[in-house]
Amino acid sequence: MHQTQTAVKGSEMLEGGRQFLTFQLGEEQFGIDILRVQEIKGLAHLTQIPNVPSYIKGVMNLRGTVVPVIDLRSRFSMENVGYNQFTVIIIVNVGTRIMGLVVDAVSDVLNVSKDGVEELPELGNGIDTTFVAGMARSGEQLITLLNIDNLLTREMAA
Amino acid sequence: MQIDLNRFRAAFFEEASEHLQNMEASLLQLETQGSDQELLNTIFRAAHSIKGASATFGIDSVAKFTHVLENLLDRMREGTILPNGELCELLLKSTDVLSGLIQSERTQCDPPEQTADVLRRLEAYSPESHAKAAVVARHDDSTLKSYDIRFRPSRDFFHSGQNPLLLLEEVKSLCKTFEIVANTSEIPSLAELDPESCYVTWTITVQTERSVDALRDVFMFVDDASQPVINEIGSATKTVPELATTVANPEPPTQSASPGVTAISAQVPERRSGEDRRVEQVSRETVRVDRERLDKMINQIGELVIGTSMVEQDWSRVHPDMESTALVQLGKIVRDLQEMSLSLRMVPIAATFQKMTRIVRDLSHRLGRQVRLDMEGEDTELDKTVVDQIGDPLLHMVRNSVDHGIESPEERIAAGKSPEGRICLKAYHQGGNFIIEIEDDGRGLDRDRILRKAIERGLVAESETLSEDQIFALIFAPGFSTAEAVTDISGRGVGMDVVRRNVEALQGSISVRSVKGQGCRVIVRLPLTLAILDGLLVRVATESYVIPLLSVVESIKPGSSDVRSILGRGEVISLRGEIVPLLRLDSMLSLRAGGTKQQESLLVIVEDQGRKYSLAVDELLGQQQVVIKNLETNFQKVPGVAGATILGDGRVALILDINGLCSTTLRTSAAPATSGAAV
Repeated sequence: MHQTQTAVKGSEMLEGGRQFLTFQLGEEQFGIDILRVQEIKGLAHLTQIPNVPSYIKGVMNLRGTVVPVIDLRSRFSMENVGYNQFTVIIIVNVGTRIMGLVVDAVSDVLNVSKDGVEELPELGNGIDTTFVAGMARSGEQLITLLNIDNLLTREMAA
Repeated sequence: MQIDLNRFRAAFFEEASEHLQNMEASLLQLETQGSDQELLNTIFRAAHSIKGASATFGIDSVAKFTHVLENLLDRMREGTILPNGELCELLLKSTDVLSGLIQSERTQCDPPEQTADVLRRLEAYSPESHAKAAVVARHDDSTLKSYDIRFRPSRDFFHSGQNPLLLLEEVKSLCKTFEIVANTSEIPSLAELDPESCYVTWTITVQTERSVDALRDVFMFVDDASQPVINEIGSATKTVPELATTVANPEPPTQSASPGVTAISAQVPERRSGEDRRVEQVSRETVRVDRERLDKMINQIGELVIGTSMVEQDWSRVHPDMESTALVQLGKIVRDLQEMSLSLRMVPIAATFQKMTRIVRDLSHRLGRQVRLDMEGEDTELDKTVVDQIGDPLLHMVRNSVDHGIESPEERIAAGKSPEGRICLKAYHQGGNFIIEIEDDGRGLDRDRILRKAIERGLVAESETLSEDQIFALIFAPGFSTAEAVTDISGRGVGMDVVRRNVEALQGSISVRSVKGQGCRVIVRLPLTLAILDGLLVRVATESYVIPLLSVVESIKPGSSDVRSILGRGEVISLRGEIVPLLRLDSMLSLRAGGTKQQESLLVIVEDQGRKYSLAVDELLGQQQVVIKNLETNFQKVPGVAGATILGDGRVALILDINGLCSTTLRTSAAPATSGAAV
């Protein structure tokens, strides 16, 4: 399935387009703006933090910086499957903050042209879509592009 | 060449505020000591520096104001105007206005309102009006003195950014008669001429009623090698050296000097680029460094320490019986480096104390009190962050002392004390802590009145019996104030609880001692630095936590009979007869999900604001200095957690906030029974 996502190669990067790092949560593919990604780390020791929502898995030591780590599966109320050797932490920059996102696996880097981003259709009541920036198509697959600013700054306010 | 003026502006603002601080401090001293030439010189120099710098940066409001101020100060220095209370008041006001003007320039907000008023009052003293008066009063030339000034700028004079013509202009403005001779004999032929060197020298003969110091001050910022020789000449006859072209006013020197010289002054600003002939800067004793950069470096060194201890641990795992001398040495160097890096942030508390002088003075004048402020240990050093943040709380406390503590002179005499009250600020180190004491010999705290007020406000129940310490601690309770009248100085009851919060935010503690009628002493205990914390490392379930050592009283291993359950919810232990609530860290921190009950293992007794709590932990891992990492940098404030640190094995450990932890737990969970028992 990895082949199908490489429909648009890096060399064909379109004018005004953006690159997204795609990753997997269960059966779904998600993408985040690659300019926000600082690095990708293997699973490290996480220190639990009391009195915070359960999707905040704890804090990790990133070369001396204490970085909070959010489990995106729990965040999106997806089934918890436990971590395996593909589980990684994507370190992202949100404003001046650095945060980690636990995802099942990273997949690819995807080029999306300006027109390639489609509006999210109305999903009905009760589904929070403020942190979805849109949808992108990669071959047969639909990728949900996340707006991590909305996703993560919300955690801070909570 | 485009120069980034903004960078220099920032430096100007910083320096100006330092000059102002100096000025204020000297003025206050002047007020108490009376006229002192050295003090006047300091004040004058500060004003002069601000004037010069503000003019350079085109901050006209400041330059204009300081110019008027400087004129007045100059008169004072010459002894034409003698300082008195009124004048000192005015000068102090001027420093306020000046700092307001600088502030307004910095933040683009409105200049202070009194500017015009103060300026007018300053001008009333100004030399113009005085000079006229002086001329009328003594119309002879007896005060007119003649000086012979030989000004030989060093060859690299231009490299220090100086323009000799401006200096000469300034000299001229001070003098009644002014004759100048430019000696151009040293100017080489055009082929050999270095346009960046100064070849011209000047001989000036002046008559002035100003002192020789005033003339010297013109050359204040000129390097030592270029200092002019100024001689007083008895008679008014002028000796004109040969080989020289006489000119009657300072404009001509440019023309009389060779064209090359004129060209120099025009070229200098552009030609000072990165050539190796750049002159060494005047050596400075201090280096200004951006605080953020410094913090980053200190942080990195902290990491280096952790990194080193990780290597040490690895080594001892691989070679359990062998010591690596190289590693031992490395460890020592790294720890020395860390110690040094931490000392970089240390600054003396003096500047903060100095501000209090002004407050005490203004307040005591307004309230009609006589107060003397003594200071001890101003040189004691403290982390810059702490120094910056302790200013406001200190201000509150000093205000309180003047307003509530010190009585009016009549009251004091009636009480058999000297009419002059005394407030003493003391700073010293004690066992890894920085202590500030604010002591006054005023009326002291009224125990009964505090208690009455506290009962009135519902802070304590009428039936409770409190120790003296507990009663005094009540003044730190929110919304508590015993001042009869609410004044604009204090008495709104927002004082002491804010003070306590601020001090606690700095991981410090505050306590008060007082004897009624004899005075009051507030003791503020602060950590030396906020970057490092002495902590007790404990294990709870699988996680390690750091408990600040400051709040740890002791740790005990309780017998099973010591622990009692109350109402089936809260638990207490009996500690040598004292009932102390027992808090289980594992449930408070939502650890140990399996529901396994913690063994009766170890209890760490902690104290927070005079109340004891016992925390159940699984293991004591040891005492350790940890580098504090802020959780808020990348995350948010977590209740019950003061911060995080990185342990020797690279793991993150949370530092517990005892106050937050205990108070939230007691409020929310099994609170009623346990907190009742704690009182």
